Amino acid sequence: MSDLTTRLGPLTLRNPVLLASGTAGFGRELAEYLDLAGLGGIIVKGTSPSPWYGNPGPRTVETPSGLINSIGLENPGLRHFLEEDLPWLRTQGATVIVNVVGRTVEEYAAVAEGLAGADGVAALELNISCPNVKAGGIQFGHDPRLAAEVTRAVKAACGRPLFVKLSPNAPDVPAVAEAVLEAGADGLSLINTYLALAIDVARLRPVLPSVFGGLSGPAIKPLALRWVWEAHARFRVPIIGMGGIREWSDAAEFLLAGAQAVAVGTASFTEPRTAAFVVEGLRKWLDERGFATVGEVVGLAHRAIDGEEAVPLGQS
Amino acid sequence: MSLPPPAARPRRAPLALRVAAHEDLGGGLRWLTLAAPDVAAAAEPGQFAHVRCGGGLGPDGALGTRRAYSLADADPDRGTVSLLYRVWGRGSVWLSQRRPGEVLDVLAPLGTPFRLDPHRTPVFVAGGTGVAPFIFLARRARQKGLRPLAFVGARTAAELAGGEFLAAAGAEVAVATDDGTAGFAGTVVDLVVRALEETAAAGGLAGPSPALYACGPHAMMAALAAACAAHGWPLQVSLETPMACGIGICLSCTVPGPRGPGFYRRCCVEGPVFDAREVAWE
Repeated sequence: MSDLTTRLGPLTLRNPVLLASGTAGFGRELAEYLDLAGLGGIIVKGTSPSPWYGNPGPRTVETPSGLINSIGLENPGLRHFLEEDLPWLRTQGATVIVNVVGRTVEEYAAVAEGLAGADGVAALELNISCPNVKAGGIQFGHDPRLAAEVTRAVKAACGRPLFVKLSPNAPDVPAVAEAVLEAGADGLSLINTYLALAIDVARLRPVLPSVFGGLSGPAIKPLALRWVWEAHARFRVPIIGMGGIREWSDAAEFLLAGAQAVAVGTASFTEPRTAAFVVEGLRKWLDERGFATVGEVVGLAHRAIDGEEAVPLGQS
Repeated sequence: MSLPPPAARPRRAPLALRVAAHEDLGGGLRWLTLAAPDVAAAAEPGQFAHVRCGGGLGPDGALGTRRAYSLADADPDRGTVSLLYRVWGRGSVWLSQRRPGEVLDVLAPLGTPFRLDPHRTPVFVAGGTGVAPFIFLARRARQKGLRPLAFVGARTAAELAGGEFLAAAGAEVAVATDDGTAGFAGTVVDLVVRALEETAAAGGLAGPSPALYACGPHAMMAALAAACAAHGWPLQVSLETPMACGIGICLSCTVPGPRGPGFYRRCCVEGPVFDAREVAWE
């Protein structure tokens, strides 16, 4: 029986499958369909110091193999999270990673500070990549200097393991990655959504009032994998991989590309049990292929092309 | 106090439901009946089914998100639920081709139902396929000894949908068409407001005062909400907004309410039925 435990630097998860931020709320709804304690954990909805309303609708539009969203980081705020959501998540036995958002460095730091004293927060995911809010989010994700500044402030305010979620829309993604790692990030979350557009032909205008939104779903899986591959090759740091994961083999691709964990997002919208199915599929795959630990497959696909050694085939 | 271990909790799951019957009603409308004893027993009028449809470009040919349809009827004795839908987009075109015996992947029942006021005459106001939830609600109202009135509107006679189902479920039905090709010439809101005003002027309804329930295009419901506010009639509306997950996690389908905490509410969980006063109509 393979050991599904996975280590991401200072963070250890019972298995590599997480619920992605912004697609799982604070866990209550999905707990009707799956056992949160059976997952690696939940990355909760982006949490700001005070409640955010989010954007006017329509907020999503379906596209071939994808979904464009412009939710605008609607969330009930840090206090609600600490008083209502976190205690409940702990009763469920869930491993909790908090996605942190803000409009300014000070706001990001305020959330981190509020989380520093809270029991049951396993790690922070710094959101500097939401394409749907004007202030905060994306401006930090596009500029390596600002990204480093906010990373440093959050790390100083809360010493928990810190993963920075990067935007694929940044002009120079590797430069942002390098900057946040130098500033103290323990790892990377790769990736957030791709800026995208859908136009309503009947109404002769963009479907979303915000014009652009972020594309998620199977359409971006190959794009996300490329970033995981590059980050693993270049930095060898802990990576949470995400983008279009629907089944165990998608997750396996991310592990083989260099991620120690993955997050299931948009797929939960159609099949709320997806993350649980991915856990079981990965378990079966590792068993059948004779891998004793998750660590054995992380980045394994690089070996084949690096020529270090042949990839073990069919050991079952 | 200690909670049971999470694994011991009963959990929901998408259901595999067999198509029991599928009728073409003409005018692009279909009546789909699914064998679903558990759903039929649990469902309340105003709730919806979230159906996984094919016709998409995804890896398995499915559309990336489910499609929401109001429960138009539920028969606990036969163990069936029915959907009334218009064929117009990828999902509904695919759905329209499903034959009896085929199995659909369905999440149901979902959402907050209508709250039927037992002390007032139910007055239903429906535009287009907005009649769907009122067939189920009419049946439930009759079971509770109420005598529902239904007002159904459309642009033209050919687009009037489901009036016969409403009548069969026990509602007294009046229709309005914008072009006057059937029933009252004008909007269904004009028709219902005029009817209720005239009844009030004549000494009130034979029974108790009215409670209104509406489902239809946004403009229709906004106009009705204004009229109800002016007359002091209670109004519940069933809203439709672009929905992805149907279970409250994506925040796609939010409906703006009065400013303040909880300004946006989820159409899929807190709705689709809302008190009209909780909705910002502008």
